[in-house]
Amino acid sequence: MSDAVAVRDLVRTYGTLRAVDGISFTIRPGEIFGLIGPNASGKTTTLRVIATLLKPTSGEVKVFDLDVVKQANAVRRLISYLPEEAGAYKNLSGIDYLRFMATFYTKDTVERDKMVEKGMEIAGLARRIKDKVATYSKGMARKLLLARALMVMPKLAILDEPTSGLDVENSMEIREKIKSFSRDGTTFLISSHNMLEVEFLSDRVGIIRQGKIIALGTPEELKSRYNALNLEEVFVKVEV
Amino acid sequence: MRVLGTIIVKEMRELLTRKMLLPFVAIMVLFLFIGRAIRGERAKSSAPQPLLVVVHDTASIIDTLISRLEKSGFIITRTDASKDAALKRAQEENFSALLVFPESIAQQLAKAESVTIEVYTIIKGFSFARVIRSVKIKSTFNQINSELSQKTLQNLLPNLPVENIQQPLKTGEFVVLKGRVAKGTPELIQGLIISQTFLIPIIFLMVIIYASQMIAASIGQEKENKTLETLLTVPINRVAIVIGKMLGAAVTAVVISAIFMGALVYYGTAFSEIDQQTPSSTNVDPSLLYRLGLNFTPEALTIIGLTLFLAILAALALATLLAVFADDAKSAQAAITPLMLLCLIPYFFTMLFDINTLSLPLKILLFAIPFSYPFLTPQALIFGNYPLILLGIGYMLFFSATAILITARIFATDYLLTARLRLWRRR
Repeated sequence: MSDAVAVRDLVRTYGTLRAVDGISFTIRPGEIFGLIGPNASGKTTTLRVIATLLKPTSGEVKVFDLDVVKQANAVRRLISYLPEEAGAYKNLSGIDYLRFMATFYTKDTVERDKMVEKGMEIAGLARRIKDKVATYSKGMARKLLLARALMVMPKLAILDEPTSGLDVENSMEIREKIKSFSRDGTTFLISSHNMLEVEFLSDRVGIIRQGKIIALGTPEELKSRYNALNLEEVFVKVEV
Repeated sequence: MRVLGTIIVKEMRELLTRKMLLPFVAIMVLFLFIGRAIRGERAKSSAPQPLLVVVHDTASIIDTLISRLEKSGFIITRTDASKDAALKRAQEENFSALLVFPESIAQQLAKAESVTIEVYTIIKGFSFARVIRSVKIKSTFNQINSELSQKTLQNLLPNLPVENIQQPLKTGEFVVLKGRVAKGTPELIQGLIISQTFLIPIIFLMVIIYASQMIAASIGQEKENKTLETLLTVPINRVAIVIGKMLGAAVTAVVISAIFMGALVYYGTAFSEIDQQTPSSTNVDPSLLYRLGLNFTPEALTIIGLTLFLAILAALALATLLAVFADDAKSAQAAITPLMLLCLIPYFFTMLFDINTLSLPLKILLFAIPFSYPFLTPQALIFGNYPLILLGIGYMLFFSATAILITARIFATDYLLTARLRLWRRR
């Protein structure tokens, strides 16, 4: 079976800064892949390239065998991207936002309504789904955005810091949803500062620093390779 | 089309918010209020005005003069008090003015001597209505003078046409325009055209600037609220996003401008009604413009509408290009400042100057600005300058198409997300 994501020698520069410096990794279909690293390590740039938002300076990135540059539109039909600081349109209600986004994925109104139903279920906002997004708390907005990303049943969901800034309860809820979708076959690429979250969620992990992947494997493999109790310890040992 | 419609509706819902509409509604209410107040003043000015008249004579000429004043809409109260006492009474009892007829008025008139009637206008404010009232007294006396001199001359020269003696030379003024001849003075034509078209440039300026602000706000908000990144990863053509945003902004701008213009027209017509009220204004035949071909036919209005639409399109495309470099709604508004200046140049040029007499560099500047053409088109239509209209339409189409292509190209690249970053790093 072909890889869900195949990144080969990816380089992305901003002027003289090499934000991503020749990284390579693959993600298998149905896998949850965690990309961890400190701030400005190149995580978001990598995710943005895979999500077709940024073009690679060099190297190649394929999503289900489709090139993210040459076949960007085809890739967009398979993926869903949740940026770290994403927002929703404040003057729309939650349900209108889901409906607006679903319109881009199907021409069939019945199918669209099914997507919206699914989105409402994932968001779990009950009656508040009819309120304007401007009135939502951070946790509610994040759950709405996650619902938007997952309601279209993407083959690959790219989530940048999915639980960033959320309280424990909301974070746990979101992690459960990711696990549940993964069981149904969705492939996930997740970036996070939260090593423990990545350890809990991910089948495999890539540790990125200064634009380079410095360690790659399952959480268990990494822990045993670096003789560590958890991924946080692995991260510290790799850094050293 | 479905996707485009969805984006347009979303744009309008995002842009037409209560917060955004409130200042417009407030201005509209203000205009309506001013218009209403002016109409109220107009009603006051046309109401009969009370005059106190000091007369110490019982000659029949006095009765004739007073009945003539009453016919002109004044309510006359006679008094034989002294001037000072009458002046005090006029102020206390809210008379508009005090007229003092000299004691010997009948004898002086009989001897063909000039008589001075003192008019004391009681000023209690400087409103339009009060100005009109004082003009009315003066013009009534002008008419009475003319009637009196006509009567005297008729008595002296019973066999001669008195009017010809009073006005031995008359001018019959005509204007010639595009080969058509009509009776009227150039000032009259100019006044008529200005009164009928003064709102057009204001409408153009407002619609173009609002549309630009709408699209800039839309892109700025997308960046500020971090919704753009998500939108750019959905499987739709980037050109559809650009066009949808532009059309959403254009429709919003037209809606706001229409609301605004309704109030402005109400406010403007209140003034023109006052102009017509003043006794000094000439009786204008409205068919004059038709006879000279100066009226706008449906075809001409269509051409004006087309040039305005193309100018809006050009402005939207340029505003989108400029807003790409902004980080948020505020900086997006600032980014389109050059565009606003480009709109103001043709607005003031066409208001203040005759474009035919402009120097070549200024002409080139005016013609290079795509937003000039809606301002130039009404005059070009009047004078049959069709090559200029065609040049304008062609140029605006080219400008808009180029700007839209560049904008769509930017939306298709990652420049939209990295533009600021690159600029920042270069510093």
